[in-house]
Amino acid sequence: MRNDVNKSPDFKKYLLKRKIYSIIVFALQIILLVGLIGAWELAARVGAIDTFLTSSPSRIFNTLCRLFAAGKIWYHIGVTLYEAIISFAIATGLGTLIAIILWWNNTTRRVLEPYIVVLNSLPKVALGPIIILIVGVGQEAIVTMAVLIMIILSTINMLNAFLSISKDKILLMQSMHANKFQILMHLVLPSSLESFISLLKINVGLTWVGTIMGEYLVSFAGLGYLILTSSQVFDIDMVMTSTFILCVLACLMYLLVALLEKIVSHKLSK
Amino acid sequence: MKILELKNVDLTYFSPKSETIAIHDINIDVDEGEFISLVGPSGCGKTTILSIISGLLPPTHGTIILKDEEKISAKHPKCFDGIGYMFQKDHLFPWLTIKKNVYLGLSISHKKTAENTEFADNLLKKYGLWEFRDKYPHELSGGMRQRVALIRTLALKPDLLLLDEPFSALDYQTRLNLCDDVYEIIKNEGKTAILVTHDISEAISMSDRVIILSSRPATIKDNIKINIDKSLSPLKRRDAPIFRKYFDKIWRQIA
Repeated sequence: MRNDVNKSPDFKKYLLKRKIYSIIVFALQIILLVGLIGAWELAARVGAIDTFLTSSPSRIFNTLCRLFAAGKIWYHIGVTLYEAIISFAIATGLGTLIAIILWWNNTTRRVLEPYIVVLNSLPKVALGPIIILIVGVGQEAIVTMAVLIMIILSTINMLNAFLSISKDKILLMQSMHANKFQILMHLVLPSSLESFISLLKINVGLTWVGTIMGEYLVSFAGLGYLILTSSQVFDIDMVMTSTFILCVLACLMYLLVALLEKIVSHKLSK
Repeated sequence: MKILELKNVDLTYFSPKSETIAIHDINIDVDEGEFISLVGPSGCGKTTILSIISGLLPPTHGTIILKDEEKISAKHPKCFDGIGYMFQKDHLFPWLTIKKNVYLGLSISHKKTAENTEFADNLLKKYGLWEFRDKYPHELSGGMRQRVALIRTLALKPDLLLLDEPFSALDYQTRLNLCDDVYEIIKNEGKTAILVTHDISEAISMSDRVIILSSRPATIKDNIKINIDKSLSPLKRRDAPIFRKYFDKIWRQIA
């Protein structure tokens, strides 16, 4: 495989077949995207759908150009992005920290177990009014909401990873006279790296849910704020455009985490 | 010279619904340099006995004497000094190179001196693993990985090796070869070893003595001295005429 000269004709045929197949899949993906947007635009042009309710790709594009020309949109993007990243970092970090504490101390874990189960099943959005009463109507409320949505899941996810480490591995560490902190640093945390990366991937999606939920609840700027206020005045172009920008941002953030995963897994299997 | 003595060791497990006597009245003496096997029906508590010997599982009754020092079961169970473990799986850490895996015990117990790392390096060289020192575990075969696991244990210079079915996760071919390798390493380094296995042939071919345990609660059924030429490798010992007789004798007591 490493040597190009030594490829047999059958092997070359196999490689070509694979390549053609992946090109076909990619082409179908593009066709689907273009087709959907085209159908939408066409339906809007011939009047099959009411653009007052559905907008249209060309109108979204025009709104997009107008917004970026005016420049104010950057401010809204910045606000939402800031909230999303801060919430993501706090929830992931704090969730992992709590998981470490629960791993460390059995009694704490046993005592808190039912509370975690209840908190996990509670729809965190229901806490909105309480959050506003306690932390006020600033960005803190939005971050708190987003963090609440992610943190329980983060804790459970990491704790499961910590507890799934084989007993023999811990026995091995004990036979080397490792103390609990050494077991944590040398075994538990490195073993859980994969779970941590998958947690990042879950949270990178959830942080947008939390942030937009929070902005719907209480906000004075941000993409969620734009969507909500525009929908109240039936500015459907603005709603669609803001949603589109949100999609792009969420995609970019996900790609960043996916890249991180690639780097880490590459380093591991080096 | 005796290195280990178990005297009237009992262990009872408690659960909310019942108490289970896991092992009962176990008396074992092990001389320095001896290779002992514990065989018995599966689930009889062989691994439990190893845990008790290591100090990590305090017995309900009885005493453990390690190197003429009586070990009192502490409130916080802790592995005794000089105990080395080897498991069914190699448990090499995939994120560390072979060399770093071997140094793991040294760095954890703050013994990473030039003298000790050189000792570990020499073990790798002696047993043909030095050229793989900068590779990662997944790049090695199962047999090689188990040898690395043994060297990782030996790097801490243990007095007593506890081998918990170290060959049972491997295919038959690898298993026979690794038996020879591990036996050679242990004999070369002059270590005392206790092997837990369910494979009677393996026990006979490697050991000076085979201890047969009954099913739960485990008690000692028999203690058989194996008199096959010690200079032979385990694989060659399997060809000795008397091997078959030992096998039958042990087999009949387990079945």
